[in-house]
Amino acid sequence: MNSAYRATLRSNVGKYVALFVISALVCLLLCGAFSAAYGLEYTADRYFDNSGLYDVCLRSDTGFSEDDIRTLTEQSGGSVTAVFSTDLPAEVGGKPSTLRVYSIDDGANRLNIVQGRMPMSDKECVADAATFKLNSTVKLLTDEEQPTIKNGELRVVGLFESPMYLTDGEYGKSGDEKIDGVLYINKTNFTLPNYTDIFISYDTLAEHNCFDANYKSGIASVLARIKTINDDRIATLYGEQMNNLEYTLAENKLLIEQYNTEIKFYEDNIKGYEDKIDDLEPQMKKLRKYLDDYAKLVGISSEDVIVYVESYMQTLDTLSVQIKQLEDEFLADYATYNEAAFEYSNKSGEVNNNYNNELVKINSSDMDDAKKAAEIKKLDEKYAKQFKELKAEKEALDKEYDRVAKMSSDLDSLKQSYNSILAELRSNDINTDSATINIENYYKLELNYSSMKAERDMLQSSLDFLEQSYADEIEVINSNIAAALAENEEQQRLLDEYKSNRWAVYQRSDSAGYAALVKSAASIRAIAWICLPYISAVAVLLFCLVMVLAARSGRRQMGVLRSLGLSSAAVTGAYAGFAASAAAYGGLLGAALGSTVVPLVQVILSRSTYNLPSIALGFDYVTVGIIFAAAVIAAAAIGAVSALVYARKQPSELLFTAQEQAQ
Amino acid sequence: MPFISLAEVCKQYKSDLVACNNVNLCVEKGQVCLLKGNDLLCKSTLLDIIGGMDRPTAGIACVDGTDLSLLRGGKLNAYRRKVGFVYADETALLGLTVGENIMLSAHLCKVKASADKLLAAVGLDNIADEPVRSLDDKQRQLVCVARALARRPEVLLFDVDEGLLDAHSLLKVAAFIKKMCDKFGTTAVISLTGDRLDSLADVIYTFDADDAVEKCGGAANE
Repeated sequence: MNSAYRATLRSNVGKYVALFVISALVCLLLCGAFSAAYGLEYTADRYFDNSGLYDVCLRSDTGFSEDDIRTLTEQSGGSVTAVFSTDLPAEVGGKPSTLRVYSIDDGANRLNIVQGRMPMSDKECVADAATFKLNSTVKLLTDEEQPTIKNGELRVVGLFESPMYLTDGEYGKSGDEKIDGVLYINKTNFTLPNYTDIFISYDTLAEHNCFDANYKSGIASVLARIKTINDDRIATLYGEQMNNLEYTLAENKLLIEQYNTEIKFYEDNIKGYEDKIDDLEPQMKKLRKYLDDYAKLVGISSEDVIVYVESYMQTLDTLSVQIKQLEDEFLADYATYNEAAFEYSNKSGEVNNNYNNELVKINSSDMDDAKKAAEIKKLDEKYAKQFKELKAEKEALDKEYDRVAKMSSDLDSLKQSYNSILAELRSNDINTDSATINIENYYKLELNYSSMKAERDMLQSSLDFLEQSYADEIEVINSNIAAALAENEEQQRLLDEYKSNRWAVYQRSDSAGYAALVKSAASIRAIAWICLPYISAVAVLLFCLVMVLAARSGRRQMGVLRSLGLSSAAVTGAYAGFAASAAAYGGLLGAALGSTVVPLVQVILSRSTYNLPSIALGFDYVTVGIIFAAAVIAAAAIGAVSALVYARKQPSELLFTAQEQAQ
Repeated sequence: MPFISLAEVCKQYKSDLVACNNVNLCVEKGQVCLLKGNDLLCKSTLLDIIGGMDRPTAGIACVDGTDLSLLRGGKLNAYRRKVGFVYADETALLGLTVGENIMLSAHLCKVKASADKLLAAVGLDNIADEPVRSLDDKQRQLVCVARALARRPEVLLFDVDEGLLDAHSLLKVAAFIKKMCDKFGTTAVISLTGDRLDSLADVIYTFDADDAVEKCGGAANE
């Protein structure tokens, strides 16, 4: 068999080379065409993976809370990066434009700085290389009332290419506005309370080419997991919101009850005042009637009566005050006098007793009279000073007594005056048709009336004030109740909103650059698929041509081999092996060149369209393998069929021995 | 029973040409049989039939008691491996060396052989590694003889091209064949026109243009 193969090979070297070249060209073209698409995708995939491009991007209108991020970190199974982003109107070189602004984070979508450096302060930014120039300035026009960033005046210190934007100018839309460019600023420059974007990357997905089916199936399961997390978060938030709502409702209910109690308290208070006023009214009416009657009787007005009585009452009051004052002074002075008189009496008694005792002692002594006289004289001299002092004190006491007595007399005369004035006032009592009116009593009644009137006025004003203030308070309370009810409605609305508030989920394939690249790869693949039948057909024809020629020229050789005892299958196999080996070697070379050089050229050309910073060579082993195998199998089959036409004949027919002679 | 027997063998080609008609032939095992005469077509056809390279249109061709027309596929290939066939035309495998040609034949029959010895026996020395392409027609014919003998065939069929082989070479080869027949019991059928090998033959059949077959005893039997 090996010798048969060797014999076939050595006798068909030219055809072997032809098969080699045909196979090489076919594999070069087909592998190149298919690998070009794959190479483009592979290069992009490597770029995505090396720069940590997200596998899944989440966006939320309400932003992501710390709980959301923690939950995603724990349950998503991927590496989670949270960033701020906002779309803002801006002035770039004096021209109005709309820019998308992201916060810088090393976790995902790492930027490829093509010029300059990363920002070092909040006044600096990096911008996309397609739109901006280095060191240019950008003015972001953030909302003044609710600013999303602190510092809008930025200097471009670096230009970048981002894996999120493979093609220049494809930055998406903000509402109806086209995004003109992209900026990255420090996270600290943002004022947003919550993160707006979550990027999740998966190591397990990075193992796959993001353009192939394995990745897509992996992404499908990731998306399903994230949907579950989202559902759980909604359920959790819904639960929390429900609790808040119930708490708020209970609180508001309590508040309403409290307000109602307060209202009732105020209303009861007002009613109390009104009842008091109602009680006073008949008394006042009665007094008013008395006053009117008197005024009619004396022919003066009730006001004059009041003035008249009031003058008496003032005098009486003055006297009363004087009496009280004098009485107080008298009692105090009298008490002082009594105390001094008591002290004097004691002291005088003590001095006299001492003197008398010493005198008795002298007189009863055994001394002679002269001596006694002398002693008595000494005694007198000894007590003379004391007696003198007692005498002076006695005189002072007498004087004080006179003064106190005079005060008593003055007090009596004042009391007399008071009583006489009072008697004079009372002598003016009035007899009316309805009653005898004591002017003093009348005055007191009038005073009482005035006091009641004042009280009533005060009550009325209090009532008015209360009614006014309570009305205000009741209004406030009612507005509070309305606010509580409105809050309830708002909570209910929020609750409904939570039910429908789902995260917007994006994947790599949703970006414009990715889609464009997929389209390009698909176009290349389409061309490859279109070329496939033509190239294959040509290849088959050429294979057939070469192998038919080889079989025809090898006819005698096949006859010899058959005559030597080789089976037709062995002979056919030798030719199939011949064709297959030529196709295999040629195909190997063609496939190697096709899957390296062609994709390389393709990616280099594509870099004018796509931002692909580096070239990565990837081999689509399956496609290349299929093409290679197809070429080899086709060649082998054609070789076998070509040989079988002859090999199945009798050796004598192949060798033209007897037949040749016959002809 | 003769080792090779042809009974009423006819062969007619598609062009209605009758190569042989009612040929009867018997060769005992170990004999050297000469097919002589001017009817080249008939002789070559008979060799093809005996070698299993062709089938008779009519009649029975038996070798070692086996009806060759009944052999198919593997059995036929196995039979062909017992046959050493030297064609008058050039049948050396041009893509191989001389040695490879010889060893291929021996290898197919699982016989150990020495290419150099066989080549020396047919008068070719030190050309085992030469490519067949570099040889002249005579040498190629001798290589084919060596190749046929390398497998120690039970049946040796030799269609001699007397234009290629000179008398000396032919006699040398024939002597070697005779030796092989004597040593290994090989039955040889040699086709030629002249009388050069009559002395070696055990049995001779003469084929003239009118298909008359005449059998006579060979010199070897005398």
